Amino acid sequence: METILSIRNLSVSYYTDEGEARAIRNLSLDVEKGETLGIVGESGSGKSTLALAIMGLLQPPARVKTGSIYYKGRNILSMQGEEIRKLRGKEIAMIFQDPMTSLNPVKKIRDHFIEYITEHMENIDEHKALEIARKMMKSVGISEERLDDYPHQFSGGMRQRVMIALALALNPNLILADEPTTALDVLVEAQILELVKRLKNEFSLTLILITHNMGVVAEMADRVAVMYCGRIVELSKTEELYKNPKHPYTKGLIESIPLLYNRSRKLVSIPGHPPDLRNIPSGCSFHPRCPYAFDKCMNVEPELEKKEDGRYVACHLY
Amino acid sequence: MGLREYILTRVILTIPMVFILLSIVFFVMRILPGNPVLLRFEKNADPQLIASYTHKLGLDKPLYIQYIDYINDLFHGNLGLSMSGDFSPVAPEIMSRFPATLELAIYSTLVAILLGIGLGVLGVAKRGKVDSAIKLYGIISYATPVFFVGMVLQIVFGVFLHVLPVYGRYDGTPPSGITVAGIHIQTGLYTLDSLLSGNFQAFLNSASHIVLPSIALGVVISGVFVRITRANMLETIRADFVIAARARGLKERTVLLGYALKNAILPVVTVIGLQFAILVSGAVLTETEFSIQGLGLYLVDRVYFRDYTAVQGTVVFLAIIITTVSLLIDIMYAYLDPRVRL
Amino acid sequence: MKREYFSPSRFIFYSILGRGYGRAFIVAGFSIIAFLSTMSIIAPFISPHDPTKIGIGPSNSPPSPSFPFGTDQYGRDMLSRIIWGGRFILLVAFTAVLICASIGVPIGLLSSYIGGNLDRSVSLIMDSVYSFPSLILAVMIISIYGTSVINEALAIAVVYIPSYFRVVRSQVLSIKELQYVEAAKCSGANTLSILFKHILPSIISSIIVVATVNFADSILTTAGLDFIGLGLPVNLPDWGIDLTYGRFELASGSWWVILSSGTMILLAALGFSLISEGYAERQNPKIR
Repeated sequence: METILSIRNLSVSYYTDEGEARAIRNLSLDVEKGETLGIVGESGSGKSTLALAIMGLLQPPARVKTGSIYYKGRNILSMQGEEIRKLRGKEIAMIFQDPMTSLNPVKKIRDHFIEYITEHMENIDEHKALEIARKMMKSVGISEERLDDYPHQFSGGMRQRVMIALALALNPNLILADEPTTALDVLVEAQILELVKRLKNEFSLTLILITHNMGVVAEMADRVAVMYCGRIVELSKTEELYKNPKHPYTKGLIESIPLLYNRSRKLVSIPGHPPDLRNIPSGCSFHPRCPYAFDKCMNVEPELEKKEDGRYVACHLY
Repeated sequence: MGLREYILTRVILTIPMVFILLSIVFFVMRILPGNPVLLRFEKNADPQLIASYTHKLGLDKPLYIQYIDYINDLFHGNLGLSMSGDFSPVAPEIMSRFPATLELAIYSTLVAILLGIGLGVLGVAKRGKVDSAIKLYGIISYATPVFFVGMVLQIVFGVFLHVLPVYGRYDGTPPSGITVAGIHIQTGLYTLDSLLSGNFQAFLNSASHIVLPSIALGVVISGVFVRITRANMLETIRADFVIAARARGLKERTVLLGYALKNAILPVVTVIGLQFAILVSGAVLTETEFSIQGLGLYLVDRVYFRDYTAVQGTVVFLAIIITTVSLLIDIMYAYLDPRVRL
Repeated sequence: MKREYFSPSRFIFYSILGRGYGRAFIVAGFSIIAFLSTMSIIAPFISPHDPTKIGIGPSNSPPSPSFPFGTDQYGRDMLSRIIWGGRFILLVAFTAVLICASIGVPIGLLSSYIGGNLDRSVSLIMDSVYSFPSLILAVMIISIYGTSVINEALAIAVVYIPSYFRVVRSQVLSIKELQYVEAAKCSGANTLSILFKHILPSIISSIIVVATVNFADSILTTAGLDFIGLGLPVNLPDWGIDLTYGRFELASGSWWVILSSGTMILLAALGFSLISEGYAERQNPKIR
């Protein structure tokens, strides 16, 4: 398998008046070509920051402290100007959480397509760009006349379809979807997920799906990385993770999924709150909320290590 | 609320607002000082002269009749009679002065918008020291008396460099406009009239006169445009759709102008309306400084001659213009915003 | 729940010295205003010459060791005139702000608190005056009632009352429903005490922002009135008057008269503008 994206020892902090908030701490992760990698975690676990870092879009007060992100061997974090611009959108495209606010309210959908395509491909004129736009709209199931509409004339689900069509217009290799269905209602969510699945195969994409929703990950992902407090605490194949979660945090996440077919199971939520990123607990950052914590957890931070069964866990229990 | 209802409500609300303003002007001019004719003349003036003035101007009628006459006259485009001796109607004089003020207002607003939006965008694009300097410019320009800027410009361009005229609107006889199909078109805006009649020399003549006054007034007003553009740009630049645009790898130019500015510019339109009051105040001072025979200078002139009825007429005219402009700006804003339009 | 107590001294302390955004602007603004006000108050003690005495030096002499700011066409010492020249313009502005605030704020409080048709009518009146140019109305009023500090202040004040009214009203409408006001209502406090004890303290910072803008504009309008010949008597030492009449001497090359007087007006207006910008930045982090 070919590694398309490789994150090495990445640390990102937000420098605020109240101190340094460490959003990502020494994180390493490989994304294989063609896979769907789910990244799950509560809000504040650093998953959206990770997405912005991959796109090279971190803005002050956020700053990369250490580490590198290699896309096909090139370090995204050291790219500048045109190089990074040509990468964004053309190689890596992103789908955002809130489709209601992710499109320019004063531009027609067609203009979104035209500027996007022509600014990346010098040899394509507006007419050809519009052809691509029509094709993309068709493939996400929207009639091409609606290219002449403004964003506010679409419903939430339709807008997310437009966002997806836009993201795929230049046939990128890697798609970063940051909570793509969180703002949508359940029925629409299912449709959008189905669409993403289909298009992923059609366009042979690599997909990084960032979400807090364990159900969505179970449905979509080949592998899952569980993030807590700026680090990956567990990484394994989806099926294994759900069948046999190792990290106590992962267990907590899975137990908090309501199951329709098993009403007798008690719905448990993880006690406590995610820690303040400016004041992260010593040792394992999860220990104050962990039912299995022992002395070592309070002092030594566990590394994400490959265990005998080939799974990666950052926990002193294993 | 649809666009139609909005405009209707706005228009209906404007009517009482104009009435209130007109009544305030009447109140200030007539009720408190009693008979303005008494103020016109020295204390020992001939009582007969005063009586004849009072009668000619209708000031001997009961107040409520005076008020009804005043409103009634306004509906007929009559802004009252001058107290200057010949009792000539004020309205024609005001109309002949108005184009000069309008021309100054248009060009200085243009200067303010270009300067304000340009600097505002530049600040947001560069941030850091450039931005701080631009922010400071915004505050300082607002705090500068317009005639002080005018004086400095006059010294630099008129006295030292000798490149631009420092007073008046035109050297020689002003351009006469054009006659099309038997209809004579003369706007009184010299730059426009000269272009209409195809006289390029005349255009240069009038344009060179308007440059310094427009810059003086434009610079002073530009501060507010800088601030509003900056503030709105900084707000929109953090919006999701701007981050999404960057994530699509759009050129920084497109992101700044097509996304951030295009969404920030609508509120700037409303500022034109809010600025109009400052513009009119500024025009009075600019016209005085540059000897432009506009409404502002007329007002100052009439005050000097204690021609109170003419002062009142001018103020009333300005009140109506200002209310109309703010109404038009509001309608334009509603029309321009695609979210309101539908 | 933590209750915020309002304490003016703490408020001012944090405004000037407290950490946070806009601090530089606020400190700079307060320093300028403090400097100008002190200078105006102690003018009789620090002024090297009588500002109105003619022929103290040669006519139109450029800045020199004996006359650091030069002299005007009558040979009056410009430095002394600058030191004295803020007295009237600042006094007019201060009086105008005082009049505006003490009319606009109570009307805004009462009208919005009572609500209904009364509020609607008052708002309509305020809105119609709001967009009227202050200088024009001031010209009209002063041309009739004559020039005096109180007349100038009143004339400027009229147009500014709606600014206070509007900001107070919008704040009151949002505060009106808050719990502590509800609680005060339940405990039987009367309307007036609710308004002044509970609502006024929480809107004081918005009022300060309006007041500083009001100050800056009043200074500029006063200078404007001087400029068009409706100001105070021309023999008074006054920045606006020096700027107005100094320009007639420009042809003879004496730029120092308008430069010093113009800069002083600019500084005074700038001081207040800086303070208002600082507060605006503090309240609205977006414009930082």
